[in-house]
Amino acid sequence: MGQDVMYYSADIIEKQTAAFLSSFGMPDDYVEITATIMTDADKRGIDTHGIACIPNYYTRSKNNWVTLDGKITTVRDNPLTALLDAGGGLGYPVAHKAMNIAIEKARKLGLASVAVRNSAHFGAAGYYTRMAASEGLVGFAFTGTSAPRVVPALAAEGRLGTNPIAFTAPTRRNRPFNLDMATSTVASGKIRNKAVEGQPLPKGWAVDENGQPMIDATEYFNGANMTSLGGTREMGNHKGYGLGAMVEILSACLTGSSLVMSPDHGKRTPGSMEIGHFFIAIAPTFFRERGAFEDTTDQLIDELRATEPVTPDQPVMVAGEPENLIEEERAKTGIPILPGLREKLNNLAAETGTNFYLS
Amino acid sequence: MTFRVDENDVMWIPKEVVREQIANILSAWGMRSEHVKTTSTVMVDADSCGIDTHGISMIPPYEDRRKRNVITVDADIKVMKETATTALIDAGGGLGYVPSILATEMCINKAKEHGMAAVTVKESAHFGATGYYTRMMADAGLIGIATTNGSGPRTAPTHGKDGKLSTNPIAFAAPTKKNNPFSLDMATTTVAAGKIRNKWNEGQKLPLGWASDADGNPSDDPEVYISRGGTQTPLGGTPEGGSHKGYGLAAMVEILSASFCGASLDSSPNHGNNKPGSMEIGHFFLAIDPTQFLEEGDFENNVDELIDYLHATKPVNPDQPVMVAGEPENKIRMERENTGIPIPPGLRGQIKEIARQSNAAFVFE
Repeated sequence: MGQDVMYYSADIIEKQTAAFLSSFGMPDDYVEITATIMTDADKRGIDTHGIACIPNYYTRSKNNWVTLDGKITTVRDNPLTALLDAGGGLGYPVAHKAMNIAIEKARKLGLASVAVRNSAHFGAAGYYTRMAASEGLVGFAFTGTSAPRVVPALAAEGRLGTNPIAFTAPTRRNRPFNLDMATSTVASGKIRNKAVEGQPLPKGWAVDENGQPMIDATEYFNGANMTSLGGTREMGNHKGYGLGAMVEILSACLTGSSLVMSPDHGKRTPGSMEIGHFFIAIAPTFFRERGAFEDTTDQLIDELRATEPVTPDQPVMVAGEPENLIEEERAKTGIPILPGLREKLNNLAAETGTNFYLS
Repeated sequence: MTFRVDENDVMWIPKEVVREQIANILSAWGMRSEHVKTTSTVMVDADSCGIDTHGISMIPPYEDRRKRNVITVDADIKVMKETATTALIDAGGGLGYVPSILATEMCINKAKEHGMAAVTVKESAHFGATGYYTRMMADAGLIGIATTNGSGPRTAPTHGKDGKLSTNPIAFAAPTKKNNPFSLDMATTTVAAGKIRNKWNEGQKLPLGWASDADGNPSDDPEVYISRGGTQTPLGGTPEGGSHKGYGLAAMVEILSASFCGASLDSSPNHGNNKPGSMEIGHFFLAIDPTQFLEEGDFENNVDELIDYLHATKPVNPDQPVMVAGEPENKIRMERENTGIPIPPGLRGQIKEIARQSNAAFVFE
């Protein structure tokens, strides 16, 4: 295969993603939802959460850490809340269902929340909160993760995951406000990129096994950890740490899932990583007349975007806007797949007898 | 009564006396007595746990706002809209403490009955430390979330020159059995404005990333923030350090606090000064009952287990153990039970002068 970046239409990427999931043994209805959500990440430039996850999912399935045909069951169903069990499956179908339940309940009663247990990776958290916004509701999503590689403030070892928070608010004139952020300073992928390019790490991105700031990116792969948002004590990393713990409380403590720092987390029960998610939906019309919430949010977005920029070529944006811009661009160019990933996927297709559409 | 004065001329005063001093002044300003009781109780709680920026030290700014007629001291509070699970309160331009206690109590009652509740407050002003309200929810066995927007838009968006958001705090508390509740109460800026002021007072430089100059470039000179139109940074500090995340959180807090109730936006021209008698600030409160999802007590056990794991984390420095949110404040609260609350001489002088002008009894001597 060539060494060039190749561009594919979103349809092809989705078809390839679905083909893999099917051949790994995921049932058709789950495949459809999962491939749609994964490809949405690729469309929006969240390249860490799309087709690039396929090799990982294969490993987890082969090792019986996830149950791709896990049965989703409703453990509790109350007027404003529900608890779902994902049966050890990947988190996409159950998260999709959970947010839909939250939306339906919040429409009737003003707000709702749905907890999910016995789940696994669910992709980009912001997909589910955008579902709420497209129905005129405010959405929150939180999830636990598989590895404790983020250090608390003052700590020398990793205890929390990247524990993301997503929040989306509906608008009328602008695209929805859409925040989707890890509570660590940067994603580990950014550290990997610095290592590949031989560049030093900015102080505050990563720490070594003694909790000291790490500058040499190549050392990161010898057991170092990421910092909580803020980076250093002086720069307020106790706040990022507090947010990371908050996400753990909502995603794990409230759903009855495994805590990310507990021994053998993710590997204790065959067929399940025991990860939890939590979703909230709130209906603005229970507080103000229809459209008023959206108008205020549009005004905020306009006023923020009108901020005079530090440099004219880098305008001030709002959360979700960089992804919206990439989405527009990729609608024209297609989705770029790097040669390393393409080769990996090609080999995996051969190994699993999956049709390969990216040649 | 005489109080201990230490070598730095700081006077250590029992909590009840500090509360009495706050109450004397609020009463003299014309606040009705039940509002005085609530407001002084919440304010002195901040002093009790070391949040010295949100207790009696707020009396001078409140005096200024009262004189400028941007707050209504004797405000009428009305519930404008109410359902089984939600409510919207109009604070009538008053300080935010009383309507926020009402909002929190409504959240608690509604969530206990239905599993969840959200209440918003508009036409409000400063409500003190956000974490007070979420701790009330945790004490009632609920998960609490609270946010407020602010009055001073001095936080610049990532890549922006001008302040468009305030320190926009978010608070979150969760109940426990064995440990103290988990209680996060954080501004979405890198540091509180008070910390920049402290460096300026001491003639020290700022760590790069706390503040930017009027052109939006990181500056280590506190003067640029104090008097030269500089700005505070969102949590993360610089684009490289992830300040777009702190900026995103601050905007989220603005949406929760203003879009849900129709408060004035921090980013709007003349925010806080557009309406006589009201700063038009908004708050948001949310409560969740964990027994909707788990058996009674299981959630608390899970949070205790998490806190224990976090406490057991290997520290960088053995003398500085890893803590959880709310713990530093709990430590100070225990200390101050014995020592009283430290009131420095400058603040004492300001309070004395305000008491004299308002015809309120001064009890710090």
